[in-house]
Amino acid sequence: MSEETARIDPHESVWGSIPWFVNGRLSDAEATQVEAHLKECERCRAECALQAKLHDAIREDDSMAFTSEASYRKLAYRIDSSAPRRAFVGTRRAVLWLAAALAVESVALVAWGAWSWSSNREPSARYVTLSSAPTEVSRAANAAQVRIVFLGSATLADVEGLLRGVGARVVDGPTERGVYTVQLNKAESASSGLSVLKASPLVRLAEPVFVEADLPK
Amino acid sequence: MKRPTHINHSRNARDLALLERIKAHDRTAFKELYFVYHSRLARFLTRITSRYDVAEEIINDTFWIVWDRAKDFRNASQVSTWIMGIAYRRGLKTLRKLNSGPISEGPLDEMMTLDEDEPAKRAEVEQWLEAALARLPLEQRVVLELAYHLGHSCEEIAVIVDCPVNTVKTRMHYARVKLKRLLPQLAGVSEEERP
Repeated sequence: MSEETARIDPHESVWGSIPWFVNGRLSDAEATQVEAHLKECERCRAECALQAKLHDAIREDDSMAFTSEASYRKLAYRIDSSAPRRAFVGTRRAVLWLAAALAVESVALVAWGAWSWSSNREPSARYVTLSSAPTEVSRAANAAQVRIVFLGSATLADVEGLLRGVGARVVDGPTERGVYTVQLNKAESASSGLSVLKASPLVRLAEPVFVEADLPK
Repeated sequence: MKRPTHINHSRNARDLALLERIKAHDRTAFKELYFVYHSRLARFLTRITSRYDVAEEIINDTFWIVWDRAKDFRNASQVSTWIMGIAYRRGLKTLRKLNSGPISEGPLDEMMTLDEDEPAKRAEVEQWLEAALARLPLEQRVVLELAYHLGHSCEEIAVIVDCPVNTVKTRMHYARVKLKRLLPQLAGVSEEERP
């Protein structure tokens, strides 16, 4: 940077370079030029001393303490949880398909909610995790539900084929962690359907949703 | 005065080695690079945004991009310059979303009334410095932080903020002039100096 400006005015050039002289990032040739000028220019010497103090004060300012472990955990969680969702819903077709599926289920849930309210029942929770209790809808339908996470490499066509093959349909999801809830309509073959899902290379995780009747008393 | 030196060739070699492993989605290398850069990014971005919670989001956005685009790094600049450039652009984008108001350029308030006859304590100098830096326009604060805190060369800063080298020098010049006015104790002068 010095070659062009040095022809203009050495003092001007050195004055502009002082911040990078004090932070040690000038080339040897540039630093030599600055040092030669400093010997004969009192103003630049004073400026250099001042900028060195400012540099040291800013560099040594440790008034901010930061922890990185918690921040990294957040980022790692974001990377882990985004991969399947990005690949699976990455196409317009996938988004439309899921929107249609969820819209149908929303209508069913609204109808169920109205009936539930009129029957003085507790409304079911809508936030689900892999270990959440099943909805009342599933109990009424008497069909097995499975919470499932697909691999990031799974395509929409793959997933559709897999779900049709076991007679399953998406009834909820994806959640923020990429968890879908699917319903196996053929209750009598739900167990084998779950086995197929668990064994599928498209599936990262598949766990049945237990109903109270299934739990040991 | 003794010539200051700042050798960072080994640092870039280490960063390059980590980036090569990150291209193969090596999470251990990614975590190491994250920890190497977290502190300096946190400090830099907190100075820009004045909010650590926002800075933390920008850091993770930055490293999300590093994870996703490590394969696109072509070694045209140092790894640190590449990462700081991403962080700077994400920082500007976030500031625009936050509709950050103009930086106050008024006089420092009660902190500027510190008795100049008393030797300033270290903590007080830090407070002064903090307040003075906060009153610099964003583009000047960025250049000062990149040069003095993070040790970047003029050319690297030009790459990071995507502007000509002479613009970097001009911004630095105005930052120096303003800080002399805001920090008379540190400067030991009260009038603006011109070359």
